Amino acid sequence: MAKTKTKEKSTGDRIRKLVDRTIQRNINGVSYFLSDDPPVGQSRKDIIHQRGTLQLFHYHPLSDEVYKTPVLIVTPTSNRSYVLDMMPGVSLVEFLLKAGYDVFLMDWQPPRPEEKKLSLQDYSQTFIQECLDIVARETGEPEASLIGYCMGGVLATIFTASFKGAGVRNLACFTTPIDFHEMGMFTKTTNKKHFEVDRMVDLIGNVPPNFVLQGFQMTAPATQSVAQLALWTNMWDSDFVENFRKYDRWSTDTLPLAGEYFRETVKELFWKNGLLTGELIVGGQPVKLRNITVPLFHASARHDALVPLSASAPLAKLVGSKDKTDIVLKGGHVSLVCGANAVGRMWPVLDDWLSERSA
Amino acid sequence: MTGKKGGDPVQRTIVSLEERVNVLGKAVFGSENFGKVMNTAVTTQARVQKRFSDRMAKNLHFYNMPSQEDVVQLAEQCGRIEERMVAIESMLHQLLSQKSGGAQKGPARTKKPKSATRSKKPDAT
Repeated sequence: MAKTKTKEKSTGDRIRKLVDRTIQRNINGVSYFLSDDPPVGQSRKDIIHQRGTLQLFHYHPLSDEVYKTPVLIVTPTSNRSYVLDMMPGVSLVEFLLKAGYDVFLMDWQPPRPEEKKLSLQDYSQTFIQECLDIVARETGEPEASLIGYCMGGVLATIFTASFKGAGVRNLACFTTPIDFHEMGMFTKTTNKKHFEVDRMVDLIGNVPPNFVLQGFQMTAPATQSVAQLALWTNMWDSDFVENFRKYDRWSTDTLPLAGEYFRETVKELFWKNGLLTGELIVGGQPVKLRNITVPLFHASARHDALVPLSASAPLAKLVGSKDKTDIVLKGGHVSLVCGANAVGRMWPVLDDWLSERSA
Repeated sequence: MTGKKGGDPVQRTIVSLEERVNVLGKAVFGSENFGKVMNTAVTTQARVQKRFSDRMAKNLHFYNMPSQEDVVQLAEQCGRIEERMVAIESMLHQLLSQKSGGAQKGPARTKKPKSATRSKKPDAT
């Protein structure tokens, strides 16, 4: 008798739960389609420098005392920088500010048509040097720690290798590709045999964002549909919907790429694999990884579909630094730097490493 | 999405299906034939876009209006001016900081590494 009652109760509970979720799903569903984009990148900041596609942010400190060495974050050129400042509690920038770092960030805006001539030299040397000079001016410190994510890591690595670490105290890279022949789908789609990069860039100038987005989506074609299915299943959960919208907004918010920069990236990195072979020359400076002698931190993700481990692993092996830390963590390309995985795994390790080298 | 293999059979099926479709998609998109087709499609699209833009430039020129190329040239000129402004601004800042003796704003840059604070704690107690 008691058993039947429990069963009845649980059935009743289940029905109530189903009705509740259906109602909530409808409310969230309507708000999903009617409301504006969710707010992102909310940490307080000043734009202290702006030149064309480049913006330099200086975040307001969140501690009474900061480390001597400021931090300059170089973000990937194909995506918006707010992935590192998604929302309070899930923001690498906020985490670093609370941990006592003085944080600067290089943010990219869509390059304008007249910026199609911006080259790899502009992105990896001129812009970074310009920002380091401004950081030095603002803080009074001649050196900063460079942190680069994905292609931002490539730019930071090229800069550090070109100038043998001048102005750089530490280099921290997340999922930074070095062996571009191991870049899976990207290596295949940009294959020299059939990809006419010259003709494409000469005809259209800047590479449109939908081309970049298609490239990302081709690395895992089913994931987008499965994500939509997951959204439908969890539509009753307001937190899930809000987080989903933020990540979805970011993942589809790709930037166009400056034509010349794209051409050089394809030819020098994908075709010649210059960063791995040491034959890359940027702005007349040979880019040899062994010239990097500053302390290096490199974190990569075990399930990274965009930058496989085999593409990023050579970084720590080829640099000339004696002080180097190379870690492989669970997760994917984005969850390594943003989300619960990052909060619990990568950020504390980065803080422990950087703290010892920033005073 | 992958990697979360829970107890729910529906969820498991979806995850397995996603993995299989991804493998298949990668095989198709990574093939040489697909690459050739993609390249043809992209260059054709770019060529059409370029022809349309050339035609538009001719029409605008006829109506004595600036074409996109003219606007781009103007913007390039502005970019060069902006570049020089940045250099002048940086020089001015340098001069100012020399005059003011380089006083820095913001919190004190005296934070100690974690290991130093950790090793200090036992002494204090």
